[in-house]
Amino acid sequence: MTPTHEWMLKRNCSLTPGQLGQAFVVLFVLSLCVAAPFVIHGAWQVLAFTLLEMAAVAVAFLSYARHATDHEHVRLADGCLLVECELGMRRQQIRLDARRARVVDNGTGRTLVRLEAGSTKVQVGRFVTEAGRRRFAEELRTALREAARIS
Amino acid sequence: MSIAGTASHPDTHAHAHPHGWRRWLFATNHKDIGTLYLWFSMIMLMAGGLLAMLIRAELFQPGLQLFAPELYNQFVTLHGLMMIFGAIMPAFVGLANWMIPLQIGASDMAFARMNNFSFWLLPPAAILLSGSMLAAGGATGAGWTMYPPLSLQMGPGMDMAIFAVHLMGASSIMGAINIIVTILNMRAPGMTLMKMPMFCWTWLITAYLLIAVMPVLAGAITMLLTDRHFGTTFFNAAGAGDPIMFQHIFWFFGHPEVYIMILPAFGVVSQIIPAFSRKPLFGYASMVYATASIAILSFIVWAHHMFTTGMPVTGQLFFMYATMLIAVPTGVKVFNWIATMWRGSLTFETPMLFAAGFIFVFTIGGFSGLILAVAPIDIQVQDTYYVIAHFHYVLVAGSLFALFAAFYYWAPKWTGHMYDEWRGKFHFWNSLVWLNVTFFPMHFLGLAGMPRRYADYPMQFTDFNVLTSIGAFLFGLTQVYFLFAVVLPTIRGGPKAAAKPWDGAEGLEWTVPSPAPHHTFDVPPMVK
Repeated sequence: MTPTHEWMLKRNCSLTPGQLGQAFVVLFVLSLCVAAPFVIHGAWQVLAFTLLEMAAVAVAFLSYARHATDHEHVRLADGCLLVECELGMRRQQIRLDARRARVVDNGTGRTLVRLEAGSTKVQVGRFVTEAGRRRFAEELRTALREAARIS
Repeated sequence: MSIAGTASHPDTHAHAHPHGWRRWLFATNHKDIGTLYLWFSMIMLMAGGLLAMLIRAELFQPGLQLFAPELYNQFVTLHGLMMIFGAIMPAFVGLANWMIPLQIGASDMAFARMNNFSFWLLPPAAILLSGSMLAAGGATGAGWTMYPPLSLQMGPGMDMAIFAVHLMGASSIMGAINIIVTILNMRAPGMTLMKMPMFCWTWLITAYLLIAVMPVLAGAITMLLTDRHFGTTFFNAAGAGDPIMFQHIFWFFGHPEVYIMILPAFGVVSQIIPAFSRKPLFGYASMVYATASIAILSFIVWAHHMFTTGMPVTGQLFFMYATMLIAVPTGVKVFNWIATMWRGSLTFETPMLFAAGFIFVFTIGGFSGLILAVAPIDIQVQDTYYVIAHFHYVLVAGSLFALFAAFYYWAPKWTGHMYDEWRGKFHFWNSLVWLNVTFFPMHFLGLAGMPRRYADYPMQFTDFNVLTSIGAFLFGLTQVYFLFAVVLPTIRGGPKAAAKPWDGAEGLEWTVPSPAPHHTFDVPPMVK
């Protein structure tokens, strides 16, 4: 039985999309509470601008929340290299044969790290810095060597 | 399990920085955009200050000396609009751009391109506003409050001002969205909301205020525009409209606007006082709650600006007591600042001088506000120089002093150089003295009944006006000194600043070198 190795590569985001949604609701309700009395008194333009502004806020929040949970999860266990990618709420899962898997990078960290096993290829490292990519590639290479040695 | 690292922004990699004018026109880096905001506000401060000097030159003696009353009113109006929308607000947005990502450990603002756009809306707005002087009939002379029916009778300069305010409002909204998303989402791991620096807290609350009230201003000035050109009569009594309605809408925006200009100042002072007292901020949580309370109360006090428009006594009582209530959270803040200093290991470098000076002079403005909250007194001094004295103590002694404090505190981080301490102190003491010489006598003028927005005054007000004008000229000269003897030399050179030039300062901004590199916190730090 080979030891399990896992890497979670993700962007830093302090709030979950749900929490960001709550923050939007607070803003929206506050803005509507402000606009409503003006509409009652005939100043409907205030509501028009409020809705316009809230649309802008919604677009901003959505565009951020869409990628808030983006991550790449790499798991090496039982002879299998499992790569899970979540990008803009699209989920992708790729399995590579750990014995045939190899890590391709140019050593600078400037390009994404390519994982190949036969004809299966996947690129990871979107959410980490150059140094992070270099470190990840190094760690994964070592883990793959260790896994090959044990098996 | 190992984590290879997390990035604030995906796919970060080294890229070429544009140079020359492209660096500024296409700026997406928060530090560059912060610098642009700060320079823009400095230029507007000088332009608005020049108008103030012209106003004081006219008021140096009774009688009409230099300008026709119409031109004088244009100067007064543009002075107000430029200082509020052009100088103070953009200056705080500039500080936010520079410091929020550094304080929360983020690599940049959340929406870098929107950040660029929100800045570049400002110069056209400033050109529209100042260019309106050249329009037929000159700029608007209806005052920064743009009350109808006067604003309905103005020439095309009024339309230019309306468009300028729309642009500046749109810029503020985009800035606020950016700040909210940045603070909520991009805090370093471990930095919970209740661990955030006070400057970030005050800006988060200010951004919520901006989002809440900017549509109200936009609605008000759009209604003015349609009244002027499209046949509506929202504010025209002859067409069954109501000019008082404008005042309600305007001040519903206008009063929170005052807090938009002062809450970030509270944040700055809350950063500086602990640093130079070498103690943590006293009552951090109560500071946060007090800031939020002030913001909430700001929504229910607007009609204290309208006591003389004829409102029921119950209405007067409500707005009077609600306004007085604001003194409670403000008092909490002043108490906490003083308690932070209490038994601290105090030193008085220039940032601390301005922060301590802020507490002294802003409190004078706060107290005169409390006096104005009393409806029977306000009715007596409505639209007199007492009101001018009050809000200049809030905005000059409050917001501007905090901005100066912020410059001296963070300039080493921005420029990599220490400013000249002697010059900083010279700037402070001159500012403090001439500020009081300028604005304190205005209380007496107001109590004696001198009305605002007139180019002339009776002989009995001469002495205090002469004193005020002399104070204003010297205060203005002091700010020219600040620009040429402090700001520019600090940018050009000076002793090298350490990463943490203030030994009592705390926060992530002091963990990066001085000057702060173009890219910081590509990997967010862990906050314990």
